Amino acid sequence: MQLTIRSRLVMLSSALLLVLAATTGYLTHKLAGEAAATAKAADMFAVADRASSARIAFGELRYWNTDLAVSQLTLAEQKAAAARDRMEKDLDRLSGQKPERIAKVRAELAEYAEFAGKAVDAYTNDQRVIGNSLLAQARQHSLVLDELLGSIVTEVSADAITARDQVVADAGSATRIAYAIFVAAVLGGALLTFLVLRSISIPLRALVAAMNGLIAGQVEVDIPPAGPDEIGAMARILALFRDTLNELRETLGRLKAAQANLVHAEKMASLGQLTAGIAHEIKNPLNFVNNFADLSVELLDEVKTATSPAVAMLGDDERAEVDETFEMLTGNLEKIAEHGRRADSIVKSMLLHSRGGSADRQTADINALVEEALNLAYHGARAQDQGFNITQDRDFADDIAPIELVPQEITRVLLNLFGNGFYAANKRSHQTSDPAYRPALKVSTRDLGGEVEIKVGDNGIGIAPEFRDKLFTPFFTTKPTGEGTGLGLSISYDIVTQQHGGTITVDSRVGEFTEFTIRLPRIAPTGAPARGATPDSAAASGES
Amino acid sequence: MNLRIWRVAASLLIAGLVSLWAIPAPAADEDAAIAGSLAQMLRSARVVIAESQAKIDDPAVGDKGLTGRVVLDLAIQKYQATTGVDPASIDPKSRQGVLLQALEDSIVEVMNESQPQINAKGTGFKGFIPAVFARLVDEAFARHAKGEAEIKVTAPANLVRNRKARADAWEAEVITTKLLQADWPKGQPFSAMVQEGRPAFRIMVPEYYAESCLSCHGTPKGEMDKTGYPKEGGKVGDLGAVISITLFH
Repeated sequence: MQLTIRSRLVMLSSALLLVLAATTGYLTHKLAGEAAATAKAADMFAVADRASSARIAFGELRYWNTDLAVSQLTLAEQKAAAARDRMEKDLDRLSGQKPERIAKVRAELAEYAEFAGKAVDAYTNDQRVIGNSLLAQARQHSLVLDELLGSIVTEVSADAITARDQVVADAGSATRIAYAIFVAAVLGGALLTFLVLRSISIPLRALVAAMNGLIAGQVEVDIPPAGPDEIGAMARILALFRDTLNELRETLGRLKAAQANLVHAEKMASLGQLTAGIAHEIKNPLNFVNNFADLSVELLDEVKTATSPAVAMLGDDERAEVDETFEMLTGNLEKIAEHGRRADSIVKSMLLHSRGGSADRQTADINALVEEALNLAYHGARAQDQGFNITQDRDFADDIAPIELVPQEITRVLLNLFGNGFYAANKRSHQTSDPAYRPALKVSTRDLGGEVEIKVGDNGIGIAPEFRDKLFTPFFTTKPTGEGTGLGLSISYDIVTQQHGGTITVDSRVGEFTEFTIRLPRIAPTGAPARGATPDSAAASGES
Repeated sequence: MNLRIWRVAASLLIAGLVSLWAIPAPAADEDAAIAGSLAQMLRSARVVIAESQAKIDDPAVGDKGLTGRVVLDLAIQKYQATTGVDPASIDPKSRQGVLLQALEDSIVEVMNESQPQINAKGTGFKGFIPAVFARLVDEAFARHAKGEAEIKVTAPANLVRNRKARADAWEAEVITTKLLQADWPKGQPFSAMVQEGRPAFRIMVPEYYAESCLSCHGTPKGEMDKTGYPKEGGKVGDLGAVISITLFH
């Protein structure tokens, strides 16, 4: 029903009032008709009563005349006169309805009265025979008169009864129709009321349920469709309220995540400072180790040279044993020097990453940079998880000319990408039931002339399509709270696109692979590039 | 009851005598004397009936012993006691004697003819009352007087119970214009010579209600008396009846 509640209630009231008015009007009309018909029937009964009264009066007249003839009492004469007077009055009243019949009655009455009067006089004068004769004649007229009056009474009474029956029949018909109208009005009114109440109560109940759901914190609760009525307005407001509540909850969630991330970032920053301090302290003894290892090799060469004559004089076995010892010492010292350099390289990398380094561009070997970052990431991962293992597939182009970049920042980007790749592959290895699955990370470099391309791909869990648009959004992460800051890819994006004018794109299929592609121009443009360099690929990694 | 009826008769008798004596001198000759004599005899006999009313209405007694002769003798005694005249002393051949004898014969005849009614055992009120007796005597007298005289007890129109007692035109006129007038002397008769085919002396002797009359004619008006007739609502002293006597010349 496309009407407001007010309009519906007004329509309901109007309909009920209309039915009431129509019923009242009909009954009034019928009652007026019945009243007229009843009055007419009453008039006819009154006529019948008058006819009966006239007949009764005539009966009394006959009686008193007979009584008079016998008793001679003037009382009988008076009674007879009174009866005739009443009869005359009744006849006067009846003459309007049955003028011809009444005229005949009057004529017969006159005849009867004349003979009866004469008969009484004869009896009074003791003329009994004459009186009898006259009374016999009067009797003849009285019979005719009585028959006339009887027929009039019968006729008028029949008319009155017919009229009364008609009134009763009409009243019965009107009563039945009134009952029918009443029942129809009650049923119609009840149905209409039910429909109107239903049109209000159902959406209202749904609205109340939705409100209760929202109060209970169920933001996904269904809100009834917003119609044009007042409940629709409430539903629209409630929907706005729900949306607002959703946004607030999401905002709150993001704020909590951001808070956790900030705490984590602070921890990481502290860890970086600690790492820098430790690396610095390690670097000095490590320099001693390296330097003294190199010096020991040189000293051992000098000792070997100096002792060679004496050694030559030794027996073969002894000489072989000395030579073998020199070689073992030399080999050990070389291993010490080699691993010392390696350790020094690691420490340098740690210092480089933790200190943030300078923003100055430098000419760098991209393959060395990638190798160094990969080693650092791998050892970092191993340091955290002794059981961690992954196949590293390197495909570095040999002919890549040095490129200008900010090594520390690009290393940061690569560490992020390698860390995410390790995480995704490791997670899949824990989730999959495929015994043949082996975590793998492939890193390749390629010289594109004006650009250098770096691809980092893993065979991990992949990135869901709905996350790809948010992949480079600050603080977005799919990792459990505390494991990811949500800043890695965001910072990487800024470093690649804004600091180096490059691009970073991602391709992925859930449960199969993820591959990031970085392209860095050899000569970075002046100033920060536009954010239009946002990766246009459809996929993005969520493992930041 | 008997005492009351006697009082009625006595009051009517006295009123009648007073009225007779009030007849003007020219009319108070023979006609007046005859009329007075007839009226008194009628009243005397009526008093006898009134005094015998209880006996007549006794349902336990059959023969009441009220034959014509018995009633007449009692009436004559009363007549004589009232007038001081023995009817037997009146010359039977005189006009008065003839008419008085006719009246006495009428009394006897009415009583004798009414014996079955009077003596009916098991019936209380028989409707044989002084007024009915007087009317029957009047009717019998008309026959016995052989056209010489008539006696009728009539009354104002609203008080007439039997239509045979209805006043004729002259009587009605006298009642209305004379006897019912407020200034008409109480008890005074009215008489006149009239021409009704032949000359006749007519006299109207008023009779007034006494207390004893009111059991049937008094109040409340409309209440049924013992005869089954509604009372007229009369009071003591109201004109209740008129003895109308016509003596034809």
